Amino acid sequence: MADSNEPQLRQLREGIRPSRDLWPDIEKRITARRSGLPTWVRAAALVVLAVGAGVWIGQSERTAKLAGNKAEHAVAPPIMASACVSEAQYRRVRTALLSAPAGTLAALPPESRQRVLSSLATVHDAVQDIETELERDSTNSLLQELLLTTCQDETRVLTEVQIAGSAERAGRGI
Amino acid sequence: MNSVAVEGCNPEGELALVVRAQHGDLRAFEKLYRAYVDRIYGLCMRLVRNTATAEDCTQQAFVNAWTALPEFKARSSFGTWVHRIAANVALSDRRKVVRVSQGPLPEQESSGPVIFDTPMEVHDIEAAIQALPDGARDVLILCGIYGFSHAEVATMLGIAEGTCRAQLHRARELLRGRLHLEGN
Repeated sequence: MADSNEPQLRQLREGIRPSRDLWPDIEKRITARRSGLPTWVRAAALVVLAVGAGVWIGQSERTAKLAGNKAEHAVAPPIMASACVSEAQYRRVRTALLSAPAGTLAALPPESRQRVLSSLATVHDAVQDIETELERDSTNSLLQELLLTTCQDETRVLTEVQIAGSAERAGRGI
Repeated sequence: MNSVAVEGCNPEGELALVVRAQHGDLRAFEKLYRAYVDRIYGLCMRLVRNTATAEDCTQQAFVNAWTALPEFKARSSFGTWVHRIAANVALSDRRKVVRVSQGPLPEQESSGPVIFDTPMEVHDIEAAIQALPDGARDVLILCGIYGFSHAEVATMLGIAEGTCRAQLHRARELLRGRLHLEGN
């Protein structure tokens, strides 16, 4: 058997044609699964939305309610201008912003606070998605850049929130 | 798997298609599908012996391949890789059937013999393989026809490598006897 029929056994490898074309169903399942875009692109879109919402909230708080409040300049931390901060530096700033007085967020109106928290959660999820993709493809420079931008955007949102919260407190005379 | 060297398309063309598919090009992946579907379906059919289940397994194998494509490093050919995925899908499906029914594998989908659409000169071998006991048949299909290594087949089937070798030997003996008898 091993000698005489081995080539014939290998012939069986040639395959069997299915009775119908299986591709349309496969394509449908693949398309449904990836829902049109790779994970990191969806993450990027979420970041843009989240940052947009965060910045909008911060600015509307400042301009509509607290314009001209002098305390703003006294308490506002600097927005990170550099595009290339070190990780240690970033983490220090982020920790400081996250551990800011609880009153920062509490000072915002409930609706705004909810939207800020939701935006931050979205940014956080986006960072995790990008990090997951980077684990698969650590050399992808586009992902690396996206992660950096996302972290900066998170910092920016936190900063804007802190500005708004501080100004709100100052406006109330707290 | 050293000899499931499947000649679906020329290696360079195949690699280009794989790279394009890895970047999300579904048309490139469709070309890979068209190059390998008959072989993948043949493998599934031989393992599950039911046309509808074999079609499901073939589809699942290609969906799994698409999902895992970013991790494909081209250490083996795409054909070899997708054969491995298909074998695991088919065997996994069979295990599910066994768990649900709590009984032996369904031997065939109907009372008649399974007819494979293969050339007549191999038809006798095909029929003889289908008549083999389950364990021997699986090993013969995976090692003898598709060229998976004993180590790989042992892992896929959840058996020891020595058992795999013994089953292959047994399968060949049984097949030889059957074909010899039919020859007379």
